[in-house]
Amino acid sequence: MQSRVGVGQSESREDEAALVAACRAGDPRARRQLWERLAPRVLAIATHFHGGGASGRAIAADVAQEVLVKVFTRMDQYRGDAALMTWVHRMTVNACLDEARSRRRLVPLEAVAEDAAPGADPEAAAEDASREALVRRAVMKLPEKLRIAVLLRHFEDLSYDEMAEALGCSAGTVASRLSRGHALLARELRALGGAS
Amino acid sequence: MSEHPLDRLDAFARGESSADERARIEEHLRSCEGCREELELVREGQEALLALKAPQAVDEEGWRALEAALAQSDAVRKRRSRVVPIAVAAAILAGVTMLAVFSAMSLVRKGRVVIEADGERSAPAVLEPGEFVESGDGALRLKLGALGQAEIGPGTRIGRVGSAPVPLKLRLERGSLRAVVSAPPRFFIVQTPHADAVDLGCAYELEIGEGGRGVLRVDAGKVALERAEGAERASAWRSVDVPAMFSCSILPGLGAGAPLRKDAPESLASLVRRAEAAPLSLQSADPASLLAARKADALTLLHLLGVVAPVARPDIRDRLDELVPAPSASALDGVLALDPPAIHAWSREIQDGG
Repeated sequence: MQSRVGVGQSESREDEAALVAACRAGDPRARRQLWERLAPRVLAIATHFHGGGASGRAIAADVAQEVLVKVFTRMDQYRGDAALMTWVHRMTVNACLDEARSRRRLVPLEAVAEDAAPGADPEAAAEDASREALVRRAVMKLPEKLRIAVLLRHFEDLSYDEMAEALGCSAGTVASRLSRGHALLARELRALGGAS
Repeated sequence: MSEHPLDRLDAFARGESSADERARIEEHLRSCEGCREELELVREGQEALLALKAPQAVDEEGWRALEAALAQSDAVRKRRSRVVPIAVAAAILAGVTMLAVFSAMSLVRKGRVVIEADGERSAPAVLEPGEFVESGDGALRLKLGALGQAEIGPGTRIGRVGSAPVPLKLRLERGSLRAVVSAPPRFFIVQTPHADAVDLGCAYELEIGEGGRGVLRVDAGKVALERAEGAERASAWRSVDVPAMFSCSILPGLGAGAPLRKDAPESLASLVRRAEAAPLSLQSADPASLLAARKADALTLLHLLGVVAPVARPDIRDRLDELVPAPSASALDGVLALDPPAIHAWSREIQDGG
């Protein structure tokens, strides 16, 4: 099983504390450095939680931006007793789930000649046939709590305890969600004709 | 092990079970086909996720948007800290933080464009990047997050461009839009086929007809009409600032025309219309129309220089110089060649009160 280590996971807690302190002091270079570490990781989870296509990427960009603004404006509230990424993961999870909840209240907009829209993804046709596109579609069929769990585990390679902190549940619940989530993903993929 | 270890298969598949747990599960699997199948599914699901690519590296636009949000948040904190006595600062620190976060979050939420009113729709819908909506025979209202709102007239096709919350970009293909925006300058942009309307803090109306020809009318504040990306323009300058009380044509091949005041003399308005009907073709501006122009029409004359043929420019320039003297000798000559620094300098002179 390929291990996916996110950017910055090898940094020591001391390095992290120094960077956070510099950000709190308003150091623009520290802010930029921290943003460069956090943004890709937050974006990866948000992107695939929202389907990963052109529309999903756009929603994910908003969600990721929301998380990053919170991280930087609430830096004073970060106590340092948990790893910074645990705190960031928790905000990412909550932002993704909140976004999904708010979208359920909105009526889907009927597509109006979307393929003529200037912003349409020019690679969409090629992507549709790809393995990644199938997996993205299968992921989107997962219930939101299972979806966020499998994505967090995949992109961040967290332990069950770290997952529990991020998801706000017990390690046993994490185990259950991951087992059910992966199995359901495989079933959805088989149904889409994309079994490996 | 009598119960099925379904909830533990993920850890087992990863080799993360303890030795005892692993032994128990292996023994169970020897006699339970259902769990063996479930384990196979868990492994398939884990492997499938390897196909997901991480997105491209985040771009500079995201960093700039974050900086803008943080700057707004910092500004709120500073304003609050100036008026609050030190003795009570600690007591309201939580409130200041929440206000700063709210302000910053408002900036981020500015990225959400919601179609709020539509006779056929019973609930709001979000206009996503790349999506377009057509108003048909009715009207729509777009809520632009905390930036403001836009009223969309019948027969309008409008969509969202890009995903960044700042600047928020819409594209008006045809029809009309009336916007009231309360946001820092350049936070809201409406693209049209031939010119981009860049909000500088204002209320305005934009109409686009067949072929992308249209008109911008500014009721309050100012809008910068900039050359649409990819659009050719004969004159050199990119932006025509259209202040309140002015309207400005949007012309194929030229971008912005010459801004015209609402109360401009009819003869001057007629001159502008003749020039815009065939851009860069009008060979002379009739003296009567030029004489009718007032100091308040100086901006019109300045930008009319870019709409007429070069041979017509000296007379217009001379009348402009009578109303609002050129800021420098180089500007006096430079505007005949539509030199951008000359145009900008004279524009500033006009807008500063001449």
